[in-house]
Amino acid sequence: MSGPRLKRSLSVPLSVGQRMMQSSEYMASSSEDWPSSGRSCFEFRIGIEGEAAATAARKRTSSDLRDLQELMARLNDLTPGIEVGLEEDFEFHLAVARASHNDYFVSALLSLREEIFRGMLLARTSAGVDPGEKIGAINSQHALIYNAVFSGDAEAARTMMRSHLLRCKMSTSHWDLADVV
Amino acid sequence: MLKEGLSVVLERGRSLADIAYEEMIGLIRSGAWPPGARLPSEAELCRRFGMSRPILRQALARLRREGLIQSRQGSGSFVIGTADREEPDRAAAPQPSFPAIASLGDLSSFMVFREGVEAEAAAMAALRRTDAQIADLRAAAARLRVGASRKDLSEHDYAFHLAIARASGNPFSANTISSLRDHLMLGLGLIWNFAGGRRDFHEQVLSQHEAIIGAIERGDADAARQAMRDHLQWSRLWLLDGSSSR
Repeated sequence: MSGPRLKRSLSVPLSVGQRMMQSSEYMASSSEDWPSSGRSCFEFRIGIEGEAAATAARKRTSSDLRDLQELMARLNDLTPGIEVGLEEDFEFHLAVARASHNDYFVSALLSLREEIFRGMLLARTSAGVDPGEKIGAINSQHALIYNAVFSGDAEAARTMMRSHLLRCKMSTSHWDLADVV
Repeated sequence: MLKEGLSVVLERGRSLADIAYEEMIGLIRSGAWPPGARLPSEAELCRRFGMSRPILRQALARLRREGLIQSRQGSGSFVIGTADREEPDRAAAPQPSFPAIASLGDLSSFMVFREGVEAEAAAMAALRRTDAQIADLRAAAARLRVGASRKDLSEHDYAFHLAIARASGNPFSANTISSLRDHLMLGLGLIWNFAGGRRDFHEQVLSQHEAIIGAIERGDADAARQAMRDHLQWSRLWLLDGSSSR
């Protein structure tokens, strides 16, 4: 996946393509199986966080809901393209896990903190699209999760969390093209 | 600049890149560069540390290798890790270790957590399993059929669940089930102690394991997820409620 080789074979004048080519330099120098490890992390999160959201819909208290509301407000106030909001996004997911009142979900997320940040960075920053669009989509997905937890609908909470994480995983897939040669 | 750099190397046996690396670690630890923060541009950092771009890049590469920052061309570098940052409220925060199972309530929570991990692992296994992994699963399931002592039964049951987590091809699933062995064994030990002598229980577990393997072998991810979820829910109710045993 060497940069020059990519440049020759993918002479597509897309900004997405440009970024991918340039990315090969640091991808080689960072964790060797990244971004596939970022995607594995999303897959794993789909299982545990889907279940955490379903449990949260059954067990949430008014104070859990206030925490979630406050985090959604903080996420909405971020300036797209300037503030990436990794910490706030992580805190939102942690707050859903806390609302399940099951410490094992919370511990799992805390122990994955840095892996989760890596995956989120791919999902929250843009390659060739308006960063505001990506962030706006993520914010509305969080709102759907919140609504399901708020209304105590465990099935919907599971579905919304799973589909949110699946979309985030898919939105990292432009990195795959860096391997296409 | 060069002279200053040389004197640093001579006096302290470190390179300029080491100095920049250490200063940036300091900024991350102090919280001046919190997780999620974007680092200043390379040009700005070169000015700040008074060094050339190749040297600065060595320092950034080391931070990346150590998992403290992640870079994206076009977007810049971002703080990912917190190093061993000494911030009072973070130091006081609980370590991300798994709580021990200290009550039946904990055991129930842990079994719900297992549903989250293992139902998805079974679904992923259905999509990715190799023939060799199917053979492993069948062998593990067969050992549970003939398990002699109750201790053996727990061990064989654990081995079956670990084999599925491994067949998922997802390192997080496999690591979770292998590193939480003691947690799983506590629940499995209890359930096989209670029910190991009951033929109906034993048969039910074997047929549920069979259903999971069958769905994985057919490559039916949804059925595999559901079969694992049903199996774990049934076990949880059997152990904690007794309701599904009747």
